[in-house]
Amino acid sequence: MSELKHWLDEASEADDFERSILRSGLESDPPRATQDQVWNGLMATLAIAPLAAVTASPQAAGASAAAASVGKAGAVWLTVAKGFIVGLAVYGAAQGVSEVASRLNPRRAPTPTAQQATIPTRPTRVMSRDAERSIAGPVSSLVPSATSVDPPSRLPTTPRSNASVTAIAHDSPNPSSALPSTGSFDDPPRPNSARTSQLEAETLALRQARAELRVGKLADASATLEAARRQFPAPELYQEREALTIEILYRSGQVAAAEQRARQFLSRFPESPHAHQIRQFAER
Amino acid sequence: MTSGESRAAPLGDFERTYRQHFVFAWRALRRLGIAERDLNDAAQDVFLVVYRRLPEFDFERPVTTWIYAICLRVASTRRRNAAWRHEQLNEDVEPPENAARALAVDAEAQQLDERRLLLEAALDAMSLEQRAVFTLFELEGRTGEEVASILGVPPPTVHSRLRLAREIFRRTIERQRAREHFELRRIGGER
Repeated sequence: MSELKHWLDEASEADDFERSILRSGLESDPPRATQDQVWNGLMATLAIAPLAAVTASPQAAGASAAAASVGKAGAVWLTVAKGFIVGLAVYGAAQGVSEVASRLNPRRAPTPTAQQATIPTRPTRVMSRDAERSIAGPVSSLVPSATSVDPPSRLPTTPRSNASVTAIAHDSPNPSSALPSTGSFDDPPRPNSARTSQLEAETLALRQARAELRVGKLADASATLEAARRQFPAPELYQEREALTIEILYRSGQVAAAEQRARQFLSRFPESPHAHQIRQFAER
Repeated sequence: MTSGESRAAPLGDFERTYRQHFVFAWRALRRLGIAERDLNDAAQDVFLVVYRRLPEFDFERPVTTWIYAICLRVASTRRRNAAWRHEQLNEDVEPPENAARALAVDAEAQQLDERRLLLEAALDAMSLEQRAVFTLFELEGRTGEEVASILGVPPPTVHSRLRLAREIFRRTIERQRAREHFELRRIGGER
């Protein structure tokens, strides 16, 4: 290859017209704001705000959250989130108010704040986990030490007529459940609108549960997650849902259940991006 | 994120990786044929995979190679899905002979638009593998060895794909030139 000249070189075999065609494709950098837009979309898609630091007692944390105004909660959030990734914290804080509002009126666009000026009101889009696996699968060949990635076991599908925090405490994932099909890069094309819709719906449910959790409505948050469990027995965002569940358990005073569930999570997903936060609940 | 750097917390790594490689990935996706309107979505797809897989990534390997491979998968999946839906990835792009005139506001901009659309037409005529080699070599200015490293293929493969891609590029341009020449003569003949 070393003997080959780039066609943009004057000394290459390409003629002036061909070079002019190539030059027309050189300006391909994204607009300045695009990077932040995509980042915010990513944070929204991941649908999990920073878990609050586990420093106060669960009861006190729950009570203070309930008593605090939304704005104050947002400020506390920002402080707490310093140990977490900055973008996630900013997005989560900015979303605090809007998510509560959107729960009351889901179709109303949240009022933009300074932080939110360029933040999309919802994820730029979401990609199904199947699609993600499809894309990521062959890449693992580049990573010899790759381990399996968060295959969400099928969660218990037993309907619960009375969704509660207590019910969640006993709703442990069954490690022996069959894994969903992983799909492959070479699978025949399939319509993915159904999966995308599920992911969007899951994202909304998690955001709603998180907003309820942040204002101390633990029972509501628990019920929201419970409803999501029933609706999506094979979740795309299993890890994120589990993380929220663990925090709800902890804040509702079910510390032992939270610890147990956190340990199960870490056992199944030791390399999870959420492992660092979950570990706080497991190692108390 | 240099080679040999100790692994920090995954989330910290993720944001650093994102900031360092976003432009690279975005540009790669664009040059791999993702339509302008879909670029942000495609970039999000890429970095969702990065987010999930980062804890497993061996940082002894080049990050750009890994990310480019993901970009290729994303572009391939989108191309395949578009074909399945009988859609064109660039369906909002009109044929060069029609679109350029509509887009341009002055002669210089019109000329640039025409050339850009011609380049797109040539790239669209290539396979994704050829397109990857061609854009990395001719537009990114990478050396053959670098292209081979990024794509994880032997240099002779890069050489072969580049040769074929160049043929397609030239053929597309020649065809377009002939078409334009025909149009001019026909218009002239009608007068």
